[in-house]
Amino acid sequence: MRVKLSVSRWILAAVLVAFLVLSPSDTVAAETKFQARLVWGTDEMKPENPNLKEIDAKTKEKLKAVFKWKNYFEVETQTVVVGPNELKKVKMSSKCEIEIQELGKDGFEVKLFGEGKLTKKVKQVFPTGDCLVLAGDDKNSNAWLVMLCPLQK
Amino acid sequence: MRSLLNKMNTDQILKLQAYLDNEVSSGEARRIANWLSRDAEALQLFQELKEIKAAMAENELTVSVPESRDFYWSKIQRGIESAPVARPTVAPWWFRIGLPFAAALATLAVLMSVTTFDLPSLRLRSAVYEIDGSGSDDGSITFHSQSEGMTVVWIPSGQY
Amino acid sequence: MKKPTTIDYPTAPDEVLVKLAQKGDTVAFEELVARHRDKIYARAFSMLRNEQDAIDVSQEAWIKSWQRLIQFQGDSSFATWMTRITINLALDQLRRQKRVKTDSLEHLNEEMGGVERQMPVVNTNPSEGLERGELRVKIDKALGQLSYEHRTVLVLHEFEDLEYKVIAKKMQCSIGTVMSRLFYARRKMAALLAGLKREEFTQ
Repeated sequence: MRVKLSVSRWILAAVLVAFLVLSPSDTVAAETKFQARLVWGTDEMKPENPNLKEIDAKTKEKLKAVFKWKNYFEVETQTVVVGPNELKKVKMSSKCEIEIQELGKDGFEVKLFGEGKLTKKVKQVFPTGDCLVLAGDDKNSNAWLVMLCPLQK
Repeated sequence: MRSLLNKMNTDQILKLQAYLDNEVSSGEARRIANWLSRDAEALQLFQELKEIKAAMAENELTVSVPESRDFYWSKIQRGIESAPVARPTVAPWWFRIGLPFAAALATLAVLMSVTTFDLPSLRLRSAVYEIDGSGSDDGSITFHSQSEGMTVVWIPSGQY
Repeated sequence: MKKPTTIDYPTAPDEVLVKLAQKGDTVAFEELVARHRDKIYARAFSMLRNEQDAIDVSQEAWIKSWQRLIQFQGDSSFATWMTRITINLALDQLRRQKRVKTDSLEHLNEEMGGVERQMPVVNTNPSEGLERGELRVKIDKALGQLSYEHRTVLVLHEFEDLEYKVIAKKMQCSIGTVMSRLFYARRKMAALLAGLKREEFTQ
């Protein structure tokens, strides 16, 4: 964001100091584009469902650095844009839905619904590039993961 | 005895018990001790409660896990291997020192000149999130991996 | 996980094992489990009165403690900290079970109160003439005959030494309810240990 200084340097300096010191996270509200992914974590080399494709290598390395499973397959991917104060719902599967509510300077509230029931509610501020991962055990010692990553404009 | 219990209101009976359990103020304790010294039936009830309390103290039956050490441990081991553990992350020293220093320099630069500039898209001050483990009623664990740039919320089985 | 070569795990004190486990040493953690598993299982069993439930809850408590180990600061002993986790999980389990089971008439009578006033006062010392082992078995059998609310309040107060207000918070009820339940539970225990039959309660 470029700002042309045509006002007194002292007024602008005061505004900048206040901005930097008091609330560095108070950036201008704008739409945020997210990639929402439902991922299956497993040690199996190939999933039973042939339609599942392996997640991209970069994401796989990140997940492997945090979780113990060797392989990660993408079950569903969606892009969602959330504007200021907006609530968006994303259906990841027949059993899994998420809601994303923009909260201004408080970031976002993300709700995870499993079979229609609220399972988890998380308030999250997304530093540039950081993802939110909600995860849990799946049957047969596998894992399900819902990854919510803001996309760069 | 039964006539006494029917005469005493619940509050009196429970105060007697609270006195036994050291859950009354010192003033109340003195009044109750006084009452017990004058009332044989109240004292009888108090003795019963005291004896059962004494009988139970240090007399819990010891039982052992009805499984071998290895078998009992194996399920725990699977559980701890599948769930990520919250570990605190600390902002690197250059972040903790550098941010305020950069802010001071930026202020100085503005004061010294009039120009166009880019407002930095600042990273949040709290780039390291506190762990939310013990405070979580549903047993979920939250932690942040700075190196991988992700916040993970692990939801235990049964919650989903 | 690499095992440090200089530690003798079976003889290392709890504090050392905890510090190692906090860094991810599962061998140290396994030693803690082996050391305290009976006590933790016993606490779960005293509340749940079912072997399999007690095994499940105690194992869940160990897993939870592993996940939260970094937060253990040593304000209490490790065993005490573990016991608290176990108690909370056992209470959760009891609440879930309560939603499923229908209440017996006796249980309803206990909840409504008044029954404890009908019981005759027991004059004999419950431990008189009994070896310690016999007394413990008798107390355990009597505990099994109480409703879960009355058993829980007795276990938490007499075995865990918790104050009324702490018990109230854990059981999600008022302090007054804790006191009433404790009073009833003690009177019933006295009657059971004295060998009184139920029909003698209301004579």
